[in-house]
Amino acid sequence: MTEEIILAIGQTLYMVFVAGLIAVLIGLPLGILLWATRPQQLFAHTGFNRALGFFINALRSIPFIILMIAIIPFTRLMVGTSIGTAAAIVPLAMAAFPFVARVMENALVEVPYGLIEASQAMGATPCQIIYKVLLREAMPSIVNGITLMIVTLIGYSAMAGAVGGGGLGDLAIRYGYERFQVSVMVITVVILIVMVQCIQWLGDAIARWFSKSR
Amino acid sequence: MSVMIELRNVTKTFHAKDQELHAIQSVNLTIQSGEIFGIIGRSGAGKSTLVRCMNLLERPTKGHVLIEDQDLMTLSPKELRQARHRIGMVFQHFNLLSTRTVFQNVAFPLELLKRDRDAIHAKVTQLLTLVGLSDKAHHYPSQLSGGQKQRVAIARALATDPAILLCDEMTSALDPETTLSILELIDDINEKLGVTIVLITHEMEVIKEIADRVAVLENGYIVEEANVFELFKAPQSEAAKKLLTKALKLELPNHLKEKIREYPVNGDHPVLRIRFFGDIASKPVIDDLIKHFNVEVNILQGNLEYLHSDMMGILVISITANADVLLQVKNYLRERNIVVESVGYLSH
Repeated sequence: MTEEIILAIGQTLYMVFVAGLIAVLIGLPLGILLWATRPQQLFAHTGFNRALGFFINALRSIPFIILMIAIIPFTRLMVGTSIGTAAAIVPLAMAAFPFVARVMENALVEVPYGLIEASQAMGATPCQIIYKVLLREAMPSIVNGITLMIVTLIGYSAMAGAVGGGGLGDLAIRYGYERFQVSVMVITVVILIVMVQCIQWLGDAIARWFSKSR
Repeated sequence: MSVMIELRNVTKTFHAKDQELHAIQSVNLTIQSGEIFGIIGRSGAGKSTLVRCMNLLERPTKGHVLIEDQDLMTLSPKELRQARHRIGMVFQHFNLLSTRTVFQNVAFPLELLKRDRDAIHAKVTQLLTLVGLSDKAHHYPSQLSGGQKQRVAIARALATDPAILLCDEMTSALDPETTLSILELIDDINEKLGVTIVLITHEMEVIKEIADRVAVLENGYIVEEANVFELFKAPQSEAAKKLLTKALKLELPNHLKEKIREYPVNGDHPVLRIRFFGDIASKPVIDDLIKHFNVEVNILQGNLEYLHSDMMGILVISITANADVLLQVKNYLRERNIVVESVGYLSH
């Protein structure tokens, strides 16, 4: 049993962090695009902004369990199989990147407009403004958003059992719920609680490190 | 002297939903190299928009913006960024990067230019000495006072050796004492580095302290342009008069104001506001008046100010004089280059 629990912890961490990483890699640039195409921003473009906003909202409105099943063909295309831990990563990333994009957009909106104006007055290019000013100033909010995303992903990963993804949630359902082994259920839940606490603590610490100067 | 900034027929109109807002209307302005030029107006007069037209943070709807004979309106984005290195800007709310130290903030414009580390270090050290913050190089903006933050912003604006420094309400978030020290610094920079200064403000105090010339902005129009002494001496526009009245505390206190009427009733004494400038300020004008006309003069309010080295005095007086004598008094004063205005008549 211990081995199975350790394996499940590994699977959960693997799914969550790989999916999280992919979500950040896709979500971050999308969030910057969402922000930059807002009215009166660096690359204001109402049409593009609305289309992208609609796409992201649409993805965010699909319940995870349905999304997971609906994109099975896409998952198979990406990782060659629709079953297993790797296959669970695709829908997890798919559910998380729109969230990251919105988090990112909101973090950038919070940066005072005066900083952008001052940078422009100093002759900064739009890329320099995004890279050197906005991302750095918004970093604490971005880190908080990513922490939130990871915690949400841990919750979603419990559902990954539906496609044979394994993980702690799956273990709790299979042993604790379906085989009435309450102790397994309790142990997995406790592990999940500890895991979420640790991630939240780490995220807060990183965010504090970025904002220590303020 | 050569021309540093020239605005030709600059107009800026904002479009909001179905409304048009005319922020700047056909402004023509010439600012000489090395000058400290003030632009004053109430909030909403268009000052901030006007100063943003000078580095094209706001692109004018119409007109030309010439900096050192180069029309910014015709430049490509890349050329404009280069031109902006010649134009430093300082803001009301400092706009420092909170995640960078004082040193890193001042280094920022040089990093944008990809200068090497040694050059940046030398320049930043020199600038921090200039603004008196050498000991705060490794502090973060949140650890500084408002005045110190503005000094950092000034140092940052000077990093690229600009020919012009645009100051948008730079002292409006500061207390009077700090305001004075910042203005002294600006004066110093103007003198030492020969940087042309454009000061946007709603406070006549700021203009009085350091500006050479001033433009009064109202509803997007320049309603008056003069050297500062001339403006204080004889403001032409209503807007300028109002701003001066406030700045020089020329409003009579309410209990006196209530007793002043437009037309005399028997026994009322006329009230005059007189302004005198330069040499005359040191002469016993009131004393002469009393002796010459055998009248009683009562000073209701007074203010003596120095504009750079010139003295300026403003008095509100009531005189025991009938209409004939009053006319003579006025002429007597005007012959001595004293500006006389009737305020009304003081009832008993």
